[in-house]
Amino acid sequence: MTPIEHFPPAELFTKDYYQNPYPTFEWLRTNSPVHEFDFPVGNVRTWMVTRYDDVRTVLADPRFSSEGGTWGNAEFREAGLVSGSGSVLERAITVVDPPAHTRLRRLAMSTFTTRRIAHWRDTVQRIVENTLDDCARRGSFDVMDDYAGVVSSDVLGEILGFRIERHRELVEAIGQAFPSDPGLMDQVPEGFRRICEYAEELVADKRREPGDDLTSALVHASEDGDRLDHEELVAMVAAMIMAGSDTVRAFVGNAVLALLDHPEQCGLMLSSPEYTSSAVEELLRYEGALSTALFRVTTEELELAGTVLPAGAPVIAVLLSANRDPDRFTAPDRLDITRNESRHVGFGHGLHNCLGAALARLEGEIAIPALFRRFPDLARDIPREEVGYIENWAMRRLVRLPVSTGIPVRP
Amino acid sequence: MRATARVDRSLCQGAGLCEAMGPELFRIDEEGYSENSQRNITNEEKVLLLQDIADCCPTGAISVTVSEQD
Repeated sequence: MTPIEHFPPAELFTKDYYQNPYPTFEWLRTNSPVHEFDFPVGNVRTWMVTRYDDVRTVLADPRFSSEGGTWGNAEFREAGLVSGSGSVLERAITVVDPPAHTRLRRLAMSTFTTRRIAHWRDTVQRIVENTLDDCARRGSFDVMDDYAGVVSSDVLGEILGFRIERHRELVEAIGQAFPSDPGLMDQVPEGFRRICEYAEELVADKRREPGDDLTSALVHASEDGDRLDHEELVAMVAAMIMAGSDTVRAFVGNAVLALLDHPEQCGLMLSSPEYTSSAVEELLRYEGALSTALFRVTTEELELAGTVLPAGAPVIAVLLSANRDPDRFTAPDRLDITRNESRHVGFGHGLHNCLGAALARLEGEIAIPALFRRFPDLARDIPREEVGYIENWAMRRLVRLPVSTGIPVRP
Repeated sequence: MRATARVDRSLCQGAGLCEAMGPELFRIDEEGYSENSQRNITNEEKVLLLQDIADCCPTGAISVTVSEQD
């Protein structure tokens, strides 16, 4: 056996990795840019891609398919890694290739009209203001649970038209559907089942009583007489629930932490509102909500950056790493809201780039500055080293971020 | 039938969907944004693909005009 001389600073998907994966990404980009390892679930041979250009290739080249159920090798499929396997989600927009994807994406995009997005701006503003009032009354609060979580779930609830009391249950079901712990794989189908069941209820509600919401728009979406059939509709709504629930919460949390860590950048954002939009792009680059894209699988044997991948190989594109690649971004570990460089891949890239990006940007542009504007002396309530991340390989989210407003609370 | 596609660079956010759907029609430049523009496409399949791509663009940055004249 050849002795291995070098190791990444933290082994993949370990405690140290989750708390600070960046030294590992740096090592991988330099030493093993297409890195073979055993995925912890089912010990499936998997390749992790960390350089910006290679991540873009994986997300844009049709030989890297999103259809794990069609192209994934037996090992991958038998380990239960095909997303939504056995449910209507097997054909969801997130995991199909063209031409099926084109049709679903056209129908979905037809509901994101300018008028609807303008209407969402008022909704987001109102929800942010109400949530800030509540945080002011508390004086001390958790950015994750009491601000980012409330704003993201209230906005999603209004936009999709659902009742808020289901949100906690949904977050739990999403956790079940995407576990980090290999020991919990047997619960995955149950997680997807619960999400689909809720989407099914929501679709039935909106068929009976249509409202001014996205679910109702999807029920009626049609192009040249073509419409989503019932299963497609349920899968689409379920995909939107999954994609929109925890991601905005995670992103707002990461952004607030980054701005607390860089008060001069925060000050610049507040004093120069013309930077608001570039600040959100920079915060998405600096630490977005997703560590990685969803699995891709190779449709044939191919070579990527000098590494030969067999057909059916699972590939993970690491978005966080691509966004910190020094070959693409100058001083990538520095937060600079005036940065005007390459486009980040925080929303992914190519066919499956985030469908809800416009809404996520809108929420970020309103919710992030509003928090600091309302509470100029906002400060962390726990030492910096106690701020920790959840142990999930795909999502980059803080466990909690307790803060104080610095404004006395009236009894 | 002739079709022309225009990319509005002020709306483009560089999602890369156009290039992924039609690499022969669109190219993403060095900065990561979609390059202008395709003129006088007459192949019917390509005209339909252009329309598909414009409909799928997440920022509505692509507009397609079709004229029936040859």
